Amino acid sequence: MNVERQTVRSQLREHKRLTLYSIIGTVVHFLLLLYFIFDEQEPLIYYNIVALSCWLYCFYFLRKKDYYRIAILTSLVMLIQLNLVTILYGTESGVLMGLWPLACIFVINTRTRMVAGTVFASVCLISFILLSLYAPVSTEDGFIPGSLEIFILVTGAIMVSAVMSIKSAFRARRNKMIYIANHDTLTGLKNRRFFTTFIAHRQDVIRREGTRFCLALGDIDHFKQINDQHGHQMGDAVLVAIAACFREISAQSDVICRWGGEEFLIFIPESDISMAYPVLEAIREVISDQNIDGINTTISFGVVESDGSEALDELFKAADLLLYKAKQSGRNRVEYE
Amino acid sequence: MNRLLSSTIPEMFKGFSEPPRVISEEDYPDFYGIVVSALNGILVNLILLIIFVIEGGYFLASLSITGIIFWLTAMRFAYSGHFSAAIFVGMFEMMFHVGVVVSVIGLAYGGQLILWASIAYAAFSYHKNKMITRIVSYACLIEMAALYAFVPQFTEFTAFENYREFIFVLLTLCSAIPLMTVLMFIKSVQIRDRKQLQNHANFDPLTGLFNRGFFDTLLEYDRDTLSNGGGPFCVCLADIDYFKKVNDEYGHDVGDEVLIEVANIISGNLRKSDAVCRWGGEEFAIILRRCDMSDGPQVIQKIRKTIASKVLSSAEIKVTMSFGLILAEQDEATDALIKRADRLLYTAKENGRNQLVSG
Repeated sequence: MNVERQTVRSQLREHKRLTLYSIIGTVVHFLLLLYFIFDEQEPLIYYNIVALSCWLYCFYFLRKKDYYRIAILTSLVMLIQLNLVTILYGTESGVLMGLWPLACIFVINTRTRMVAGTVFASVCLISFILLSLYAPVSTEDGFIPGSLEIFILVTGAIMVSAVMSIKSAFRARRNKMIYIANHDTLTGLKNRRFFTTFIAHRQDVIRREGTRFCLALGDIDHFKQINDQHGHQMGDAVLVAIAACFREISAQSDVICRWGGEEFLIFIPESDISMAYPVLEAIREVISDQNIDGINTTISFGVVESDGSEALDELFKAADLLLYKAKQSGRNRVEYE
Repeated sequence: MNRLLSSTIPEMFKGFSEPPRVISEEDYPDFYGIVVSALNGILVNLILLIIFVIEGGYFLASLSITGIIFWLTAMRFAYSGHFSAAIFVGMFEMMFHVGVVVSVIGLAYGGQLILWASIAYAAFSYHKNKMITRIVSYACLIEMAALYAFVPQFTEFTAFENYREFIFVLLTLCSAIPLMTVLMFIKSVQIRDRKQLQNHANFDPLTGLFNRGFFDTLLEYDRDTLSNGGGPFCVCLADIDYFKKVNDEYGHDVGDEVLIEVANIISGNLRKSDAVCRWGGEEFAIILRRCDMSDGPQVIQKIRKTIASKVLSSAEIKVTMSFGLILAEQDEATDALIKRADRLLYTAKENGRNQLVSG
């Protein structure tokens, strides 16, 4: 659910950004149109009227949320504009430098396809080379003086900010993926995938250091009944509340994992049974005292101690046996070897 | 120094196709960017070195050699996972080298265009410190503007006049092609990530069926189409009998295998228009679209028989399933739908399991 909300938020941000771009594009083309009318550059006047209508058309695409068309249309408009201005005013105007940021932004835009990106970048590159080698350096109608430097700075700054924002989105998405891969979505505890790799790695370290650790397997008592009597939503609420208890009481260095439906595994480093037992007792007590929306739940634990020489499977089996014993002897208790 | 070289050179040749182990998957885009630009830098410098030596530009030739050494260092940093250091070495090489060369031979050879690539790399290398990234990329930008402002197209240095167009095209391509390759790579990773994220949001990772969140959305949609005059549809809840025992007796691995195989059997026996989700631990929920009480039970009975008859998982065990099937009514809340199905499922369990109760 959280992921969906995040996606919606990022889409909203994209929508806002594209609206801003469309407004800027429209204004810039309008100003350019005025300049070309003043400068009596006939082909450019006609072209800019077309370009202006394209930019205005973008608002229609924005309403339809068709971001792909916006990217393609505006990029093509700008590509032709840059080429025309360079041919008519000469390479001295420096407008052709804008082809670089244009190609970069088009390529990195995730809305466009790879093939489209390749084709567009190649067209930009080829037209840049041809223009700089064969277009006239300067014509009699001079462009705004100093336009080359200004153009480089402005388009370059746009490119830097675009690339940086893409990079931060990229990082955020990667981090989120790593989080999702290692956590249980409902309770936010670690998931099984993470726990198995973590333990395998940790056991190596523990063996080398010569310390001991405890592994506790907890199972909510009569959880099936909660689900059946009060519905799944209630069951989920109970799981979340119990996960919160775990997180609150256990130490920072403990690793808590939701192993299966209502089963939890707790890894308690650098401790033996005598140290782990009070912690688990405390958790058990808090949970049995707690009232979650009118439901009283209890939990049973089976806890084993290890020096890192047994595999996780064996440890788990031993803990499961102890848990079974706890369940047999009346539930709501911590059973150890 | 000796040790540095002896470890750098073999490493460089070893890892072009695959990243070395110290680079985590997360850092791979950064790593890729640096290696591509470093290889490109070395290549350009080598070509220029040859031209410079032939035409007698010994000062420029020595600069090219320094450039190669810088890029090798950057590559070494990249291989040991120090990306920021690698990028800064590369950036420094580009800015310094381009600045000197362009001031000597003039703008007409296109050396300043390399800076476009360095601006993009610098902007993309942003890890945590936004300020440093901005400073470096704007420094490149200002350097380029300054070169255009103060350096003439041609200087007195005319030794390379014959190669002008060749050098211009070479430098443009050497700036653009690696830049575009890196950007494309980054984009492909990003597209893949986005797809995976969507999968995480909508699918159960173990069985590959829809998850509950997405199923709720589907159910709401179907209910709305029903009240807008769509065809009838059925909802079925299914539960594997005595699944806890399977887990306890054979271990969780076998339990997982059973779940996956059951999920495959269910989705294999449904039409494309139907939907199935993993509702909870061993529970599944099914929507049968355009289906009423005349053909719905047949579909479910077929699934029930298939599961009961098949030997599942590596432990070769048999499981059975109980089902509760209902026909959706107009304007019924989705919660109420599920509750009705759940009650029927409960009846099926009470009546001795491995059966379908519909109503």
